[in-house]
Amino acid sequence: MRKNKLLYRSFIILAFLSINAGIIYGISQVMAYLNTGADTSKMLHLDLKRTNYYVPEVNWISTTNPGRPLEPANQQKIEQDYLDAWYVKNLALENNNFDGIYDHYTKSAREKVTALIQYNTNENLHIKSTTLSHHITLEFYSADGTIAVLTDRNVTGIEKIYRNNQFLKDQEFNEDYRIILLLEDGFWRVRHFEKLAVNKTVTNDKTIPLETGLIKGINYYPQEHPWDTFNEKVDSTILTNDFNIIKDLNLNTIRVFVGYDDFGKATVNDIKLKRLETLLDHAHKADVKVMITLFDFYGDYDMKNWTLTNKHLKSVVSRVKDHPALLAWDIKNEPNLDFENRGEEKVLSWLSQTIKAVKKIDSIHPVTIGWSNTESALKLEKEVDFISYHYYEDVDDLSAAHKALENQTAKPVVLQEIGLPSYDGLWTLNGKDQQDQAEFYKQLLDTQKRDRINYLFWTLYDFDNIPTDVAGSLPWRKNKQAHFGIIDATSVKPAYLLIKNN
Amino acid sequence: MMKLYRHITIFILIAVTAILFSCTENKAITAVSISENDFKIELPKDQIVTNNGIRVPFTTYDKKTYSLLDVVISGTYGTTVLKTQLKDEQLSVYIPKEITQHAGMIEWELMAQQKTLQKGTFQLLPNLKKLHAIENYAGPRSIIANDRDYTMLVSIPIDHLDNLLPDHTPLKMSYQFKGTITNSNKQIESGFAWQRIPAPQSTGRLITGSTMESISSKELVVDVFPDIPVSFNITKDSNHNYADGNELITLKTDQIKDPYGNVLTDGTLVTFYIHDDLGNTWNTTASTVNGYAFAKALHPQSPSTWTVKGVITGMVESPELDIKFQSIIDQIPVSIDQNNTITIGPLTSYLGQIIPDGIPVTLKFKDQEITVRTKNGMARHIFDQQFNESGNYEVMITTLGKSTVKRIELR
Repeated sequence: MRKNKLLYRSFIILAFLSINAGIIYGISQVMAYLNTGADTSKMLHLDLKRTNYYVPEVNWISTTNPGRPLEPANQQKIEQDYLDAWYVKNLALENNNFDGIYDHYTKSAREKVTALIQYNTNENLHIKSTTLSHHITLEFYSADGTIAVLTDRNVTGIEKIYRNNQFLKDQEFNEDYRIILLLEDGFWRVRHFEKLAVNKTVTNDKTIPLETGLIKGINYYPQEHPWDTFNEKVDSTILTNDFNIIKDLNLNTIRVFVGYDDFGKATVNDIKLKRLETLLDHAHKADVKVMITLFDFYGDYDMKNWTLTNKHLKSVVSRVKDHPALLAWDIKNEPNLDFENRGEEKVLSWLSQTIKAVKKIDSIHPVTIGWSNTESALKLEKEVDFISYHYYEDVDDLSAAHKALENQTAKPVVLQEIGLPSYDGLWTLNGKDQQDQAEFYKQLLDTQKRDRINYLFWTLYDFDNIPTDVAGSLPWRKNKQAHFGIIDATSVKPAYLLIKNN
Repeated sequence: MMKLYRHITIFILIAVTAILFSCTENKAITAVSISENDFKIELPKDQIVTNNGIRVPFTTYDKKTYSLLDVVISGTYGTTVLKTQLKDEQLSVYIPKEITQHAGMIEWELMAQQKTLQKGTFQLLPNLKKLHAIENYAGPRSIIANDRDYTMLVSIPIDHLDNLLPDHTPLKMSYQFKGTITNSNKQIESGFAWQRIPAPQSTGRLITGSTMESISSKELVVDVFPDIPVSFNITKDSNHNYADGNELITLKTDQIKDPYGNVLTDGTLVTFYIHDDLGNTWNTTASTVNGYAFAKALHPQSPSTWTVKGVITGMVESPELDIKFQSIIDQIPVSIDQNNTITIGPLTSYLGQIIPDGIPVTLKFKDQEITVRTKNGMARHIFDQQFNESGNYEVMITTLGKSTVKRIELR
């Protein structure tokens, strides 16, 4: 009885305390809410932090003008506001609403934009569009700094038209515009917009040859840092050691992965680029070519963000495009796996524009896409320079599958990933051991030799810690993923010698 | 029972065939393959903008399949998709005013079944016959009267649908200053014309405007303000130069002007910095009216010499002016009566008149300093017997910059 009383008492006290805590928390939230925005410095939108949301390539051709010199700060402000004018117009045409139009168009220009949006709304049309590059010439900047006249030539981009939410058409554009901007309320607003000319869109139908002998290679991750090749701990010692092993295996190519997030998205981290260069330097020393897979773990193909992926790509590609160890660009690893979630049309159009963006910067290295199976392998066949596919089916059918692909294209075909985990543990019904793996490799290598297949196998090491975003958290998947190597924690597996003596 | 089943079966069969039939009928249209030669648009020529839309007829068309056509059209502000219309046995596509109002290149594409049948571009030109207005922008809106400064006039004429006019369209830009009108003939380039207007060398209001055929701009006014002033002199004005602590002295500037003789803008602050030979410094300020600034200062109570300088901060300062103040008394009459009361005064001023009330008189007595104030020219102090033993003492009396020492006897 006493115990019960004590229990009740403590329960009541606890309830009292927690109710009070709740009330105090609630009041503090209300106070905090009422206090936000009270900061007088916020009245002027001076400290608005700009995040990257629209970063098409902008080249200022000239700022020389008869009116007044353009100061760098004002140039930046004009550029931002001008691009924002495009951005809000793109969004408005996509969503058929007028958000942001008010801030970036003067009254008379606003009416023109909204009239078209109204028309499209009535017709149930949605137009997704983005510009990708601008080439701005400043024609005039008035003495008091409130009028700027720009000519923006070769505004390239792409638009996709949807009617009743059905995809109708996509088209690239390349146009010249004249723009008159007025400085109003601290914003450069569009007063006049005029399309001056429609130019031909640049088409790239030149196929770049894959300049190497037969590719014998490996998908490479360091032993301690799978899916994290550009970790700070992966130093010269590790790289030298690993490249020695790769050399010992008589391989001539590796494939590495540049993570979109890992490298800093649109604003690429210079340290990561340096590490990429270091890796290429070591590869060059070891006489190994490197195929770089871009956009690893990127999954948002939305047109709104194309300028961001292009900016990312430009930083990476332009940094290493002249490196002698570079073999080819792989746009993305297994993008066909996103068809279901993101929509095939969306993924393909991103890939297509990204190929163009790479080729614009690097015109000598071939470009491919690492499709996860043979069915998807011929998508965008016209646009890539060589075909890459991954093969995790029965190795008996490899020869036929590879030949079937080769018969359908004139471009080189690369078996970009193949391998077998030697995992026979708790989670598998009919696991393979290291002997099975050796058998697999023997058969693979026989086929490869006979059919002269360009191949890169998966992978060098068994890994201890697989990131969850790679294989999920299910132990049977994880464990399988962990044992694809030909070297385990202690020693080489039998498959190692087979590859070495191939 | 059997019969019922049969009925249901028949019904289902009929329904299925009906559905199938309707499907095939729909397919009948989509299954048609349209070739490039089935439809031809009469190529739109370059033309003037219009708010009535533009109807573009087809020269070749097929009445059965025209509903599959789409015309994708892109103007300056964006893209839209149009359907064709068959009216009076003529197939045409109507480009709405949302597109045809805005000058610029128009791109069109006739497509069906994801296939391009025909495409092209044409230009919409501004309507030079229906002009609407000239938008003028003048700035900076205030300039300085000198030979370096200028303002700028930008004219953007537009037609009735708010389109920029083509290059080389002539335009007259003018400005008026103090009766003089300056006109210049300009041509539009990149949609606008502009002119630099040099600052006149006198102050006033500069009025600008532009005209073109039947249209004209609004009037925009630029204010011309005087340049940085040249050095100026200061003078003083006072009834007398006695240090009576009562009179106000007026510090004055000349009329302050810029190098071109323009009077300084009203309200410019002039600061008079004053320091005296006793080591005190202070200032007084005044704002200018018609180029003059007047500031007042109270005369000192002790004879001293002031050095005054007029300064317009950041621009110019005057030469220094010295002002001497003389004492208003020659001597201090002092008397002491039997009740230990010391009386100073009557203190008289330069005319023999009694000095103003409230002038402090300091008595130094033993280690104390006692300040009393005058009333009707007299100041009094009673030495308290409780604190002061009887005897002879020395008292130093100071007032209005003079001092005197007096021996007194307290009882």
